[in-house]
Amino acid sequence: MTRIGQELLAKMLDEHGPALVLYARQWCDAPEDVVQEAFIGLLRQPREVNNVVGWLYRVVRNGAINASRKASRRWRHETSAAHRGEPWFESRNGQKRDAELLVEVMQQLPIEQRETIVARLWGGRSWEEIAELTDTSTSTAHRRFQTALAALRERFPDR
Amino acid sequence: MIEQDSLTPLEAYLASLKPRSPKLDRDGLMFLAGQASVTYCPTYRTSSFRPVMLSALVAAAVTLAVVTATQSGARIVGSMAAAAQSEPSQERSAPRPTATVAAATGADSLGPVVVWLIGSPPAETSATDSDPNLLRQLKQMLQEEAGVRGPKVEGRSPKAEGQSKRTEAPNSRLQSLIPNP
Repeated sequence: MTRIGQELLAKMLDEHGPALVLYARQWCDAPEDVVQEAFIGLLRQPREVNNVVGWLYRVVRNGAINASRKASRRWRHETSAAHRGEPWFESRNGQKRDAELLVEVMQQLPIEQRETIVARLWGGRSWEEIAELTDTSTSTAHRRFQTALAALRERFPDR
Repeated sequence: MIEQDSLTPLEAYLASLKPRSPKLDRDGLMFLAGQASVTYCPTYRTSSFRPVMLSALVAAAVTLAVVTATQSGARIVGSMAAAAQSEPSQERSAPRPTATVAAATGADSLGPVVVWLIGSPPAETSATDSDPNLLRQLKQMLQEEAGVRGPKVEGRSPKAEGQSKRTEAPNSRLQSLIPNP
């Protein structure tokens, strides 16, 4: 069990902050607010949290879903959030086009596949954690991931 | 993070794309973290130190209060009883103090606080004060005795001697009516 101090918080912000924001971005158009609230909730926890990263992902997921429900624009909200102008990934040399293509492909995926692939590839979560996070079995999570990856492979044939 | 060896080339390439850095209020989070680390004390939170300490202090305070009240009450009653014995005439004329009454009724063992709370019990009264029939009988006997004896005369007659013998009977009756202490 871990109690969050300033050093650990800084480390977690650096290591997991971007992936958490990308994860929350799959539902809502204000992912930074959701992640910020999740970290504040973590710091105000009266009890020590066993799996801090897993706890953060679950809280971020719930917060993002609630934020999307509160939004008045319910029409294809996940897709509309994905269409926002803010880039999802950092633009590095030679990767800008691939990053834009990746976002374009992911916007067309169902939310279940998107959250699975984000939690796996950029969040680094295990299959068990993803299954617990999404309230499914590990086989279902793995199947969703493979389906999303197949769609991506079509758009990145040389990779 | 997952191990890069277990990833396919496509997965590894996609994972190499870095998500954009979030615009979080880092300073605010750091302030909250520092605040939480100062106010957090695992010893106090996880143990029952505070409830046990509070219970012990309350028990000690109640015990001390009872002991102090009892001892001071007994001391006051003792001193007042000694004063009352040294000045019996003043005690009769003056009203009886509460502490003395409590001593007579046994309430002194509870202390002056209890006496003050429950009020002073009724003062002790003798049987002669409380029984009007007995008073009446006594008065009647005294009147009879005074009327039979009359003034003392030297060289009494045999008739007077017989009357004096008869007066002894009321005295014995009087003694029987007075209750033993």
